[in-house]
Amino acid sequence: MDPAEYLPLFIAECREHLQELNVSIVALERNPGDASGVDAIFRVVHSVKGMAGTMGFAGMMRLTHEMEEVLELVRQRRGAVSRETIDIVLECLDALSAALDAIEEGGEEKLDPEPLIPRLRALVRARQSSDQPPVAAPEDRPAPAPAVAPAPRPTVRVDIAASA
Amino acid sequence: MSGLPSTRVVVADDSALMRTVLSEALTQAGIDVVAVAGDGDEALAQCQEFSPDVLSLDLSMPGRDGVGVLRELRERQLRVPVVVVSAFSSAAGARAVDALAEGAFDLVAKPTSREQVDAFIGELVRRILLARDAGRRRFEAGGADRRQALAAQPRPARSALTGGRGVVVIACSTGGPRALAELLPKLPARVGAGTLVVQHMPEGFTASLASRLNSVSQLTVSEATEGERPDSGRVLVAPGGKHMRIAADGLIRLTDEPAVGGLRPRADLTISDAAAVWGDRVLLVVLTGMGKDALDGAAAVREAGGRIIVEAESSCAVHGMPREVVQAGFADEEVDLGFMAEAILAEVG
Repeated sequence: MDPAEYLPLFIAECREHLQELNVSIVALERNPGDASGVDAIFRVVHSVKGMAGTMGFAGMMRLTHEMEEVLELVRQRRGAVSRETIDIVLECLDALSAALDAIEEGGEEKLDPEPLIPRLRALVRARQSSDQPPVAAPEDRPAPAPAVAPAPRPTVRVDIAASA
Repeated sequence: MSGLPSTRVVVADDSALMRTVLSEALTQAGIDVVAVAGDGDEALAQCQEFSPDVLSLDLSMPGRDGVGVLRELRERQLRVPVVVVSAFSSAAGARAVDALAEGAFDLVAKPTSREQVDAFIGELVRRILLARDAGRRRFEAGGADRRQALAAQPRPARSALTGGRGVVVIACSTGGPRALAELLPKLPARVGAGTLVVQHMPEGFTASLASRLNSVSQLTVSEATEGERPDSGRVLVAPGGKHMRIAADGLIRLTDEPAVGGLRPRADLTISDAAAVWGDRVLLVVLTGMGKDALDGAAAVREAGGRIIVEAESSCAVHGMPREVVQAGFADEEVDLGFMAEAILAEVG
Protein backbone atom coordinates (compact mmCIF):
# COMPACT_ATOMS: atom_id res chain seq x y z
CA MET A 1 0.00 0.00 0.00
CA ASP A 2 1.02 3.61 -0.44
CA PRO A 3 0.69 5.36 2.93
CA ALA A 4 0.72 8.81 1.27
CA GLU A 5 -2.74 8.10 -0.08
CA TYR A 6 -4.11 7.91 3.44
CA LEU A 7 -2.35 10.95 4.90
CA PRO A 8 -5.40 13.24 5.04
CA LEU A 9 -7.45 10.59 6.81
CA PHE A 10 -4.57 9.86 9.20
CA ILE A 11 -4.07 13.52 10.08
CA ALA A 12 -7.77 14.18 10.57
CA GLU A 13 -8.30 11.16 12.79
CA CYS A 14 -5.15 11.77 14.84
CA ARG A 15 -6.15 15.38 15.43
CA GLU A 16 -9.51 14.24 16.68
CA HIS A 17 -7.80 11.77 19.01
CA LEU A 18 -5.32 14.31 20.33
CA GLN A 19 -8.18 16.70 20.96
CA GLU A 20 -9.95 13.99 22.91
CA LEU A 21 -6.74 13.21 24.75
CA ASN A 22 -6.39 16.84 25.72
CA VAL A 23 -9.92 16.95 27.10
CA SER A 24 -9.39 13.72 29.02
CA ILE A 25 -6.15 14.94 30.57
CA VAL A 26 -7.72 18.21 31.67
CA ALA A 27 -10.54 16.21 33.26
CA LEU A 28 -8.01 13.96 34.94
CA GLU A 29 -6.15 16.96 36.31
CA ARG A 30 -9.35 18.00 38.02
CA ASN A 31 -10.15 14.51 39.20
CA PRO A 32 -6.90 12.48 39.37
CA GLY A 33 -8.63 9.40 40.81
CA ASP A 34 -10.99 8.89 37.86
CA ALA A 35 -10.24 5.42 36.50
CA SER A 36 -12.50 5.76 33.47
CA GLY A 37 -10.51 8.85 32.46
CA VAL A 38 -7.31 6.82 32.40
CA ASP A 39 -9.04 4.10 30.36
CA ALA A 40 -10.14 6.64 27.76
CA ILE A 41 -6.64 8.11 27.50
CA PHE A 42 -5.18 4.65 27.22
CA ARG A 43 -7.47 3.65 24.37
CA VAL A 44 -6.78 6.84 22.43
CA VAL A 45 -3.02 6.43 22.78
CA HIS A 46 -3.28 2.81 21.65
CA SER A 47 -5.32 3.86 18.61
CA VAL A 48 -2.82 6.54 17.62
CA LYS A 49 -0.03 4.01 17.99
CA GLY A 50 -1.73 1.53 15.67
CA MET A 51 -2.34 4.21 13.07
CA ALA A 52 1.17 5.66 13.27
CA GLY A 53 2.69 2.19 12.91
CA THR A 54 0.54 1.44 9.88
CA MET A 55 1.49 4.75 8.28
CA GLY A 56 5.14 4.14 9.07
CA PHE A 57 5.67 7.09 11.42
CA ALA A 58 8.22 5.42 13.67
CA GLY A 59 8.73 8.36 16.05
CA MET A 60 5.03 8.69 16.86
CA MET A 61 4.80 4.93 17.13
CA ARG A 62 7.65 4.69 19.62
CA LEU A 63 6.44 7.56 21.74
CA THR A 64 2.86 6.29 21.96
CA HIS A 65 4.14 2.81 22.73
CA GLU A 66 6.09 4.09 25.72
CA MET A 67 3.11 6.20 26.82
CA GLU A 68 0.92 3.15 26.69
CA GLU A 69 3.25 1.15 28.91
CA VAL A 70 3.20 3.90 31.55
CA LEU A 71 -0.56 4.34 31.33
CA GLU A 72 -1.04 0.60 31.71
CA LEU A 73 0.65 0.76 35.10
CA VAL A 74 -1.44 3.76 36.08
CA ARG A 75 -4.50 1.76 35.11
CA GLN A 76 -3.45 -1.27 37.11
CA ARG A 77 -2.85 0.80 40.19
CA ARG A 78 -6.26 2.38 40.11
CA GLY A 79 -4.82 5.09 42.35
CA ALA A 80 -4.65 8.81 41.80
CA VAL A 81 -2.53 9.95 38.86
CA SER A 82 0.52 11.98 39.85
CA ARG A 83 1.12 15.55 38.77
CA GLU A 84 4.36 14.41 37.21
CA THR A 85 2.62 11.81 35.05
CA ILE A 86 0.09 14.35 33.83
CA ASP A 87 2.86 16.83 32.98
CA ILE A 88 4.84 14.32 30.96
CA VAL A 89 1.75 13.04 29.14
CA LEU A 90 0.95 16.66 28.24
CA GLU A 91 4.47 17.12 26.89
CA CYS A 92 4.06 13.97 24.82
CA LEU A 93 0.77 15.33 23.54
CA ASP A 94 2.54 18.51 22.43
CA ALA A 95 5.22 16.48 20.67
CA LEU A 96 2.56 14.42 18.87
CA SER A 97 0.68 17.57 17.79
CA ALA A 98 3.89 19.09 16.48
CA ALA A 99 4.62 15.88 14.58
CA LEU A 100 1.18 16.05 12.95
CA ASP A 101 1.80 19.68 11.96
CA ALA A 102 5.11 18.68 10.40
CA ILE A 103 3.49 15.80 8.55
CA GLU A 104 0.79 18.07 7.23
CA GLU A 105 3.37 20.57 6.00
CA GLY A 106 6.04 18.33 4.58
CA GLY A 107 5.01 14.69 4.94
CA GLU A 108 7.71 14.00 7.56
CA GLU A 109 6.98 13.67 11.26
CA LYS A 110 10.21 15.29 12.48
CA LEU A 111 9.66 13.79 15.92
CA ASP A 112 12.53 12.65 18.06
CA PRO A 113 10.99 10.69 20.93
CA GLU A 114 14.36 9.98 22.57
CA PRO A 115 14.38 12.84 25.12
CA LEU A 116 10.89 11.92 26.35
CA ILE A 117 11.36 8.16 26.55
CA PRO A 118 13.74 8.00 29.53
CA ARG A 119 11.43 10.31 31.46
CA LEU A 120 8.42 8.12 30.71
CA ARG A 121 10.39 5.06 31.72
CA ALA A 122 11.47 6.72 34.94
CA LEU A 123 7.78 7.08 35.81
CA VAL A 124 7.32 3.35 35.31
CA ARG A 125 10.28 2.54 37.53
CA ALA A 126 9.13 4.91 40.24
CA ARG A 127 5.70 3.32 40.10
CA GLN A 128 6.92 -0.22 40.13
CA SER A 129 9.12 0.31 43.15
CA SER A 130 6.30 1.93 45.09
CA ASP A 131 3.75 -0.72 44.15
CA GLN A 132 2.50 -3.16 46.71
CA PRO A 133 4.01 -6.60 46.17
CA PRO A 134 1.38 -8.69 44.38
CA VAL A 135 -0.12 -11.68 46.13
CA ALA A 136 1.86 -14.83 45.48
CA ALA A 137 -0.92 -17.13 44.44
CA PRO A 138 -2.09 -18.37 41.08
CA GLU A 139 -4.99 -16.23 40.01
CA ASP A 140 -8.24 -17.60 38.80
CA ARG A 141 -9.41 -17.45 35.25
CA PRO A 142 -10.47 -13.89 34.45
CA ALA A 143 -14.14 -13.34 35.18
CA PRO A 144 -16.56 -12.72 32.28
CA ALA A 145 -16.02 -9.22 30.93
CA PRO A 146 -17.82 -6.43 32.71
CA ALA A 147 -18.71 -3.34 30.67
CA VAL A 148 -15.23 -1.95 31.24
CA ALA A 149 -12.41 -4.42 30.69
CA PRO A 150 -10.60 -5.18 33.93
CA ALA A 151 -6.96 -4.22 34.13
CA PRO A 152 -4.80 -7.33 33.89
CA ARG A 153 -3.59 -8.22 37.33
CA PRO A 154 0.09 -8.73 37.89
CA THR A 155 1.12 -12.34 38.33
CA VAL A 156 3.92 -13.73 40.35
CA ARG A 157 5.59 -17.03 39.81
CA VAL A 158 6.40 -19.30 42.65
CA ASP A 159 9.50 -21.29 41.80
CA ILE A 160 9.64 -24.64 43.45
CA ALA A 161 13.31 -25.47 43.69
CA ALA A 162 14.07 -28.85 42.21
CA SER A 163 16.50 -30.32 39.78
CA ALA A 164 15.45 -31.48 36.35
CA MET B 1 -11.19 -11.97 -10.04
CA SER B 2 -11.65 -15.69 -10.57
CA GLY B 3 -14.65 -17.97 -10.80
CA LEU B 4 -14.04 -19.24 -7.28
CA PRO B 5 -16.41 -18.05 -4.58
CA SER B 6 -14.82 -15.02 -2.96
CA THR B 7 -13.83 -14.80 0.66
CA ARG B 8 -16.28 -12.62 2.56
CA VAL B 9 -14.84 -10.64 5.43
CA VAL B 10 -16.07 -8.15 8.03
CA VAL B 11 -13.41 -5.68 9.23
CA ALA B 12 -13.83 -4.31 12.76
CA ASP B 13 -11.58 -1.51 13.99
CA ASP B 14 -12.38 1.65 15.93
CA SER B 15 -10.05 3.68 13.70
CA ALA B 16 -11.54 4.97 10.46
CA LEU B 17 -8.05 5.02 8.97
CA MET B 18 -7.48 1.36 9.82
CA ARG B 19 -10.89 0.38 8.47
CA THR B 20 -10.08 2.14 5.20
CA VAL B 21 -6.54 0.83 4.87
CA LEU B 22 -7.52 -2.74 5.71
CA SER B 23 -10.61 -2.75 3.50
CA GLU B 24 -8.74 -1.41 0.49
CA ALA B 25 -5.76 -3.69 0.94
CA LEU B 26 -7.96 -6.76 1.38
CA THR B 27 -10.08 -5.79 -1.61
CA GLN B 28 -6.94 -5.47 -3.72
CA ALA B 29 -5.99 -8.97 -2.63
CA GLY B 30 -9.28 -10.26 -4.01
CA ILE B 31 -11.11 -10.49 -0.71
CA ASP B 32 -14.70 -9.29 -0.51
CA VAL B 33 -15.08 -6.92 2.43
CA VAL B 34 -18.82 -7.17 3.00
CA ALA B 35 -18.98 -4.70 5.89
CA VAL B 36 -16.88 -2.62 8.26
CA ALA B 37 -17.58 -2.04 11.94
CA GLY B 38 -16.38 0.71 14.28
CA ASP B 39 -17.14 -1.06 17.54
CA GLY B 40 -17.89 -4.45 19.01
CA ASP B 41 -21.67 -4.31 18.87
CA GLU B 42 -21.59 -3.27 15.24
CA ALA B 43 -19.20 -6.14 14.48
CA LEU B 44 -21.59 -8.62 16.11
CA ALA B 45 -24.58 -7.24 14.22
CA GLN B 46 -22.72 -7.55 10.94
CA CYS B 47 -21.57 -11.09 11.65
CA GLN B 48 -25.19 -11.95 12.34
CA GLU B 49 -26.41 -10.25 9.18
CA PHE B 50 -23.71 -11.26 6.69
CA SER B 51 -22.36 -14.57 8.06
CA PRO B 52 -18.88 -13.70 6.76
CA ASP B 53 -16.18 -16.32 6.21
CA VAL B 54 -13.86 -14.41 8.56
CA LEU B 55 -13.98 -11.49 10.99
CA SER B 56 -10.87 -9.28 11.14
CA LEU B 57 -11.02 -7.97 14.69
CA ASP B 58 -9.27 -5.11 16.47
CA LEU B 59 -9.20 -5.73 20.21
CA SER B 60 -9.16 -2.22 21.60
CA MET B 61 -12.54 -0.69 20.86
CA PRO B 62 -14.91 1.50 22.85
CA GLY B 63 -17.85 -0.29 24.44
CA ARG B 64 -17.67 -4.03 23.84
CA ASP B 65 -14.03 -4.82 23.10
CA GLY B 66 -12.60 -7.60 20.96
CA VAL B 67 -12.54 -10.24 23.68
CA GLY B 68 -16.16 -9.35 24.46
CA VAL B 69 -17.01 -9.88 20.80
CA LEU B 70 -15.43 -13.34 20.84
CA ARG B 71 -17.39 -14.35 23.92
CA GLU B 72 -20.62 -13.08 22.44
CA LEU B 73 -19.99 -14.85 19.11
CA ARG B 74 -19.71 -18.07 21.05
CA GLU B 75 -22.74 -17.24 23.16
CA ARG B 76 -24.82 -16.67 20.03
CA GLN B 77 -23.24 -19.71 18.36
CA LEU B 78 -22.09 -17.64 15.42
CA ARG B 79 -19.38 -19.72 13.83
CA VAL B 80 -17.20 -17.01 12.39
CA PRO B 81 -13.43 -17.62 12.44
CA VAL B 82 -11.69 -14.54 13.84
CA VAL B 83 -8.28 -13.11 12.97
CA VAL B 84 -7.16 -10.63 15.61
CA VAL B 85 -5.28 -7.55 14.42
CA SER B 86 -3.49 -5.82 17.27
CA ALA B 87 -0.65 -3.41 17.94
CA PHE B 88 1.64 -4.80 20.60
CA SER B 89 1.93 -3.49 24.16
CA SER B 90 1.97 -5.24 27.52
CA ALA B 91 -1.74 -4.68 27.98
CA ALA B 92 -2.64 -5.41 24.37
CA GLY B 93 -0.50 -8.54 24.50
CA ALA B 94 -2.45 -9.83 27.46
CA ARG B 95 -5.73 -9.07 25.68
CA ALA B 96 -4.53 -10.70 22.46
CA VAL B 97 -3.61 -13.86 24.30
CA ASP B 98 -7.01 -13.81 26.02
CA ALA B 99 -8.56 -13.54 22.57
CA LEU B 100 -6.62 -16.53 21.28
CA ALA B 101 -7.58 -18.54 24.33
CA GLU B 102 -11.20 -17.47 23.75
CA GLY B 103 -11.01 -19.11 20.36
CA ALA B 104 -9.69 -16.50 17.94
CA PHE B 105 -8.06 -18.35 15.05
CA ASP B 106 -4.90 -16.31 14.81
CA LEU B 107 -3.16 -13.07 15.55
CA VAL B 108 -1.45 -10.55 13.27
CA ALA B 109 0.59 -7.74 14.83
CA LYS B 110 0.04 -4.25 13.41
CA PRO B 111 3.19 -2.93 11.75
CA THR B 112 5.65 -0.79 13.68
CA SER B 113 7.53 0.70 10.72
CA ARG B 114 7.00 1.58 7.10
CA GLU B 115 9.09 -1.40 5.98
CA GLN B 116 6.69 -3.77 7.70
CA VAL B 117 3.47 -2.48 6.20
CA ASP B 118 3.38 -4.60 3.07
CA ALA B 119 4.47 -7.70 4.96
CA PHE B 120 1.70 -7.01 7.47
CA ILE B 121 -0.93 -6.85 4.75
CA GLY B 122 0.41 -10.03 3.15
CA GLU B 123 0.37 -11.83 6.47
CA LEU B 124 -3.17 -10.68 7.21
CA VAL B 125 -4.42 -11.92 3.83
CA ARG B 126 -2.71 -15.26 4.30
CA ARG B 127 -4.20 -15.78 7.75
CA ILE B 128 -7.65 -14.71 6.66
CA LEU B 129 -7.57 -17.34 3.90
CA LEU B 130 -6.35 -19.98 6.33
CA ALA B 131 -9.00 -19.03 8.86
CA ARG B 132 -11.63 -19.34 6.14
CA ASP B 133 -10.41 -22.82 5.14
CA ALA B 134 -10.13 -23.95 8.74
CA GLY B 135 -13.63 -22.64 9.40
CA ARG B 136 -15.10 -24.52 6.48
CA ARG B 137 -13.33 -27.75 7.42
CA ARG B 138 -14.01 -27.49 11.09
CA PHE B 139 -17.70 -26.93 10.78
CA GLU B 140 -18.00 -29.86 8.38
CA ALA B 141 -15.82 -32.17 10.49
CA GLY B 142 -17.44 -35.09 12.23
CA GLY B 143 -16.53 -36.97 15.41
CA ALA B 144 -13.18 -37.06 17.14
CA ASP B 145 -10.65 -39.89 16.82
CA ARG B 146 -9.89 -39.91 20.56
CA ARG B 147 -6.67 -41.84 20.85
CA GLN B 148 -5.13 -43.93 18.19
CA ALA B 149 -1.82 -45.77 18.31
CA LEU B 150 0.09 -45.32 15.10
CA ALA B 151 3.52 -46.85 15.54
CA ALA B 152 4.49 -48.79 12.47
CA GLN B 153 7.22 -50.69 14.28
CA PRO B 154 7.22 -52.25 17.74
CA ARG B 155 7.92 -49.65 20.41
CA PRO B 156 8.65 -49.98 24.10
CA ALA B 157 5.36 -49.95 25.99
CA ARG B 158 6.58 -47.05 28.13
CA SER B 159 9.12 -44.42 27.47
CA ALA B 160 12.22 -43.92 29.57
CA LEU B 161 10.88 -40.57 30.71
CA THR B 162 9.59 -41.18 34.20
CA GLY B 163 11.47 -39.87 37.20
CA GLY B 164 12.03 -36.30 36.05
CA ARG B 165 15.10 -37.11 34.01
CA GLY B 166 13.91 -36.22 30.56
CA VAL B 167 11.99 -33.52 28.80
CA VAL B 168 8.65 -32.94 27.11
CA VAL B 169 8.74 -30.59 24.13
CA ILE B 170 5.42 -29.19 22.94
CA ALA B 171 5.43 -27.56 19.50
CA CYS B 172 2.47 -25.55 18.22
CA SER B 173 1.49 -22.68 15.96
CA THR B 174 -1.91 -21.56 14.72
CA GLY B 175 -4.51 -22.47 17.34
CA GLY B 176 -1.75 -23.26 19.82
CA PRO B 177 -2.58 -20.72 22.53
CA ARG B 178 -6.07 -22.11 22.85
CA ALA B 179 -4.83 -25.69 22.81
CA LEU B 180 -2.24 -24.92 25.49
CA ALA B 181 -4.89 -23.18 27.60
CA GLU B 182 -6.92 -26.37 27.47
CA LEU B 183 -4.03 -28.81 27.93
CA LEU B 184 -1.71 -27.33 30.55
CA PRO B 185 -4.35 -26.84 33.31
CA LYS B 186 -5.02 -30.59 33.15
CA LEU B 187 -1.44 -31.44 34.11
CA PRO B 188 -0.55 -31.75 37.81
CA ALA B 189 1.86 -29.41 39.61
CA ARG B 190 4.70 -31.78 38.90
CA VAL B 191 5.13 -34.20 36.02
CA GLY B 192 7.83 -36.72 35.34
CA ALA B 193 9.87 -34.40 33.14
CA GLY B 194 10.53 -30.72 32.50
CA THR B 195 8.32 -29.19 29.81
CA LEU B 196 9.38 -26.85 27.00
CA VAL B 197 6.88 -25.09 24.74
CA VAL B 198 7.61 -23.59 21.33
CA GLN B 199 4.66 -21.55 20.11
CA HIS B 200 5.05 -19.39 17.01
CA MET B 201 3.99 -15.93 18.06
CA PRO B 202 5.10 -12.35 17.37
CA GLU B 203 7.79 -10.99 19.64
CA GLY B 204 6.42 -9.59 22.88
CA PHE B 205 3.23 -11.65 22.96
CA THR B 206 4.85 -14.79 24.38
CA ALA B 207 5.34 -13.19 27.83
CA SER B 208 1.60 -12.52 27.93
CA LEU B 209 0.93 -16.07 26.82
CA ALA B 210 3.14 -17.54 29.55
CA SER B 211 1.55 -15.30 32.17
CA ARG B 212 -1.94 -16.30 31.14
CA LEU B 213 -1.12 -19.99 31.05
CA ASN B 214 0.54 -19.67 34.45
CA SER B 215 -2.62 -18.20 35.89
CA VAL B 216 -4.67 -21.26 34.91
CA SER B 217 -2.10 -24.04 35.43
CA GLN B 218 -0.79 -25.90 38.44
CA LEU B 219 2.60 -26.12 36.78
CA THR B 220 4.59 -22.89 36.89
CA VAL B 221 4.62 -21.42 33.38
CA SER B 222 7.06 -18.70 32.35
CA GLU B 223 9.02 -17.45 29.37
CA ALA B 224 12.32 -19.26 29.23
CA THR B 225 15.38 -17.27 30.25
CA GLU B 226 19.02 -17.77 29.45
CA GLY B 227 20.73 -20.53 31.43
CA GLU B 228 17.58 -22.07 32.91
CA ARG B 229 17.28 -25.81 33.40
CA PRO B 230 14.07 -27.66 32.50
CA ASP B 231 12.35 -28.65 35.71
CA SER B 232 9.54 -31.10 36.37
CA GLY B 233 7.45 -28.42 38.09
CA ARG B 234 7.79 -25.89 35.31
CA VAL B 235 6.84 -25.12 31.74
CA LEU B 236 9.30 -22.90 29.84
CA VAL B 237 7.90 -21.05 26.82
CA ALA B 238 10.31 -20.00 24.05
CA PRO B 239 10.27 -16.19 23.84
CA GLY B 240 9.08 -14.77 20.51
CA GLY B 241 11.95 -13.52 18.36
CA LYS B 242 14.54 -15.94 19.82
CA HIS B 243 15.48 -19.53 19.18
CA MET B 244 15.37 -21.71 22.26
CA ARG B 245 18.41 -23.96 22.05
CA ILE B 246 19.62 -26.45 24.63
CA ALA B 247 23.33 -26.77 25.33
CA ALA B 248 25.04 -30.10 26.05
CA ASP B 249 24.82 -29.36 29.78
CA GLY B 250 21.01 -29.28 29.48
CA LEU B 251 20.70 -25.53 30.04
CA ILE B 252 18.58 -23.20 27.91
CA ARG B 253 20.38 -20.94 25.45
CA LEU B 254 18.34 -18.21 23.78
CA THR B 255 19.91 -17.20 20.49
CA ASP B 256 19.47 -14.59 17.77
CA GLU B 257 20.40 -16.99 14.98
CA PRO B 258 18.49 -16.20 11.78
CA ALA B 259 14.84 -17.23 11.45
CA VAL B 260 14.47 -20.68 9.87
CA GLY B 261 11.78 -20.74 7.20
CA GLY B 262 10.54 -17.40 8.51
CA LEU B 263 10.20 -18.75 12.04
CA ARG B 264 11.97 -17.68 15.20
CA PRO B 265 11.56 -19.55 17.47
CA ARG B 266 11.78 -22.65 15.29
CA ALA B 267 10.63 -25.74 17.17
CA ASP B 268 12.88 -28.01 15.07
CA LEU B 269 15.98 -26.52 16.71
CA THR B 270 14.71 -27.00 20.26
CA ILE B 271 13.50 -30.52 19.54
CA SER B 272 16.72 -31.62 17.83
CA ASP B 273 18.79 -30.21 20.70
CA ALA B 274 16.59 -32.05 23.19
CA ALA B 275 17.09 -35.31 21.29
CA ALA B 276 20.85 -34.72 21.29
CA VAL B 277 20.94 -34.00 25.03
CA TRP B 278 18.38 -36.45 26.42
CA GLY B 279 18.28 -39.17 23.76
CA ASP B 280 15.35 -41.54 24.29
CA ARG B 281 14.14 -39.54 27.29
CA VAL B 282 12.31 -37.04 25.07
CA LEU B 283 8.56 -36.87 24.53
CA LEU B 284 7.63 -34.69 21.57
CA VAL B 285 4.05 -33.39 21.43
CA VAL B 286 3.03 -31.70 18.18
CA LEU B 287 -0.17 -29.68 18.47
CA THR B 288 -2.22 -27.67 15.98
CA GLY B 289 -0.36 -25.43 13.57
CA MET B 290 0.32 -24.47 10.00
CA GLY B 291 3.44 -25.52 8.16
CA LYS B 292 5.98 -28.22 8.86
CA ASP B 293 7.98 -26.99 11.81
CA ALA B 294 8.64 -29.93 14.18
CA LEU B 295 9.03 -32.39 11.29
CA ASP B 296 12.86 -32.36 11.25
CA GLY B 297 12.81 -32.36 15.03
CA ALA B 298 10.52 -35.40 14.98
CA ALA B 299 13.02 -37.23 12.78
CA ALA B 300 15.74 -36.56 15.37
CA VAL B 301 13.53 -37.72 18.23
CA ARG B 302 12.62 -40.86 16.34
CA GLU B 303 16.28 -41.52 15.58
CA ALA B 304 17.21 -41.11 19.26
CA GLY B 305 14.45 -43.46 20.40
CA GLY B 306 12.12 -40.89 21.99
CA ARG B 307 8.33 -40.83 21.82
CA ILE B 308 6.07 -38.70 19.62
CA ILE B 309 2.41 -37.84 20.15
CA VAL B 310 0.53 -35.60 17.71
CA GLU B 311 -2.81 -33.88 17.99
CA ALA B 312 -5.56 -35.54 15.96
CA GLU B 313 -7.22 -33.58 13.17
CA SER B 314 -10.50 -33.67 15.10
CA SER B 315 -9.34 -30.97 17.53
CA CYS B 316 -6.77 -29.04 15.44
CA ALA B 317 -7.44 -25.49 14.26
CA VAL B 318 -4.95 -26.33 11.49
CA HIS B 319 -3.77 -29.89 11.04
CA GLY B 320 -0.58 -29.02 9.10
CA MET B 321 2.20 -29.67 11.61
CA PRO B 322 0.76 -32.88 13.11
CA ARG B 323 -0.12 -34.18 9.66
CA GLU B 324 3.45 -33.77 8.40
CA VAL B 325 4.75 -35.85 11.31
CA VAL B 326 2.12 -38.56 10.80
CA GLN B 327 2.75 -38.73 7.05
CA ALA B 328 6.47 -39.13 7.62
CA GLY B 329 5.67 -42.13 9.82
CA PHE B 330 7.22 -40.62 12.96
CA ALA B 331 4.18 -40.41 15.22
CA ASP B 332 3.58 -43.05 17.89
CA GLU B 333 0.11 -41.89 18.77
CA GLU B 334 -2.54 -39.51 17.44
CA VAL B 335 -4.64 -37.96 20.17
CA ASP B 336 -7.60 -35.59 20.31
CA LEU B 337 -6.75 -32.57 22.47
CA GLY B 338 -9.35 -33.56 25.04
CA PHE B 339 -7.28 -36.68 25.82
CA MET B 340 -3.83 -35.18 25.41
CA ALA B 341 -3.06 -34.60 29.10
CA GLU B 342 -3.87 -38.23 29.83
CA ALA B 343 -1.66 -39.37 26.94
CA ILE B 344 1.25 -37.22 28.15
CA LEU B 345 0.87 -38.42 31.72
CA ALA B 346 0.87 -42.02 30.50
CA GLU B 347 4.39 -41.31 29.26
CA VAL B 348 5.80 -39.06 31.95
CA GLY B 349 3.42 -39.32 34.91
